[in-house]
Amino acid sequence: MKKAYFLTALRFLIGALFVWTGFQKLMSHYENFLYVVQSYEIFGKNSREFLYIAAFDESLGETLEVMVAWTLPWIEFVAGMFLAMGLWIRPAASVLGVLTFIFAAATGQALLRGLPIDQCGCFGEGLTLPLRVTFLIDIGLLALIVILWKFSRMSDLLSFDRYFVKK
Amino acid sequence: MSIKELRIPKRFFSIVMALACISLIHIARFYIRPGEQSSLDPKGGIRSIGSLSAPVKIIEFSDFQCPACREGSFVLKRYLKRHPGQIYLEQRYFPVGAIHRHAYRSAYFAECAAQQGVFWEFYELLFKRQSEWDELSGEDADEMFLQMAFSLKLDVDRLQVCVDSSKTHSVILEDKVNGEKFGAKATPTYFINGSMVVGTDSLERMLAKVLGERRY
Repeated sequence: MKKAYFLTALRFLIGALFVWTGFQKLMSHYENFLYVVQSYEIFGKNSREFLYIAAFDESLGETLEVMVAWTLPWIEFVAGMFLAMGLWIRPAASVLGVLTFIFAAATGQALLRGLPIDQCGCFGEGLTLPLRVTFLIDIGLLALIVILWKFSRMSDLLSFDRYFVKK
Repeated sequence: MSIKELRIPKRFFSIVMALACISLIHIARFYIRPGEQSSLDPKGGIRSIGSLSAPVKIIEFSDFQCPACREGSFVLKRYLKRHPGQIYLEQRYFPVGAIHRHAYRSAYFAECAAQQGVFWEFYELLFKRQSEWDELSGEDADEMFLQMAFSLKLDVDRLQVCVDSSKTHSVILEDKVNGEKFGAKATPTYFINGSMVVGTDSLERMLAKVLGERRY
């Protein structure tokens, strides 16, 4: 039972964290987050050198940056809400796990390339952290999400999933 | 009556909850982002270049210690040169003191240079020599700003009084608050004919678009 309480609390915490980060980004103008996405230089004009894809189209890269800046905060917010409410716990944890993995990979490559990023942008305007700290937080968070995903059935106290269990 | 008794299908309930989340954000945006209801208008004055009737109006929010703002200033200079009479540019202060320790002091000096009529020369000098003062201590940075003022033949005594004046500080603060009101969070942020763009990549894209240039 103690384990169930712990996992439920973990579910609330992780869900609330993503709700907060998504909310921060969604309340700010999308151009601000687009700037953060651009600063990681994954799709933009400097990405070709990094990705070693000679055929990578610059305009496609720009479109991808815009798409990421538009959609990512919504995914964070809605999946975070679902996790906190306990609605589709496992799928929501999977989505947030994939997102966290992408954040860790993006931060890791920025660290390796020594990109001059002043702020990670991960917590919107609410909190500014150095890139190394952000990377460590992402790894820790990913580990917690994996635990939650693995024991998702035990984290369903105070959840909507309980109401929809087929008998 | 519980959800179970209502016998609502889970998928339907999930869609309703997702739509509720989206609506919540739109409602929150309406109350949290009041700046969207009004427009940022150019003011003219000493910190502007070009005619107010130019087809492309740019309002720049910048921090003199920000490397991207430096890059942005070069982009703007290039476009101003290539499109004479087409661009109106107005600078506003947006010092980010949390990450740039000389952000406010450099803005104070720039404002005081503006009051002596040489804003754009000082603006250019601050960006051009940014790497020289970026790492300096507060006192040494001030010393360098004074040297720059001296090289532009400014009245240094008047400048020093001006830099410490609360009136100067309030000009900078007013610009920053105004920028925040319209959604600026990071530097450089530009408003091009009212549309917000952040960073030099987006600046170049937008300028190329509004000026009908092809980018290479």
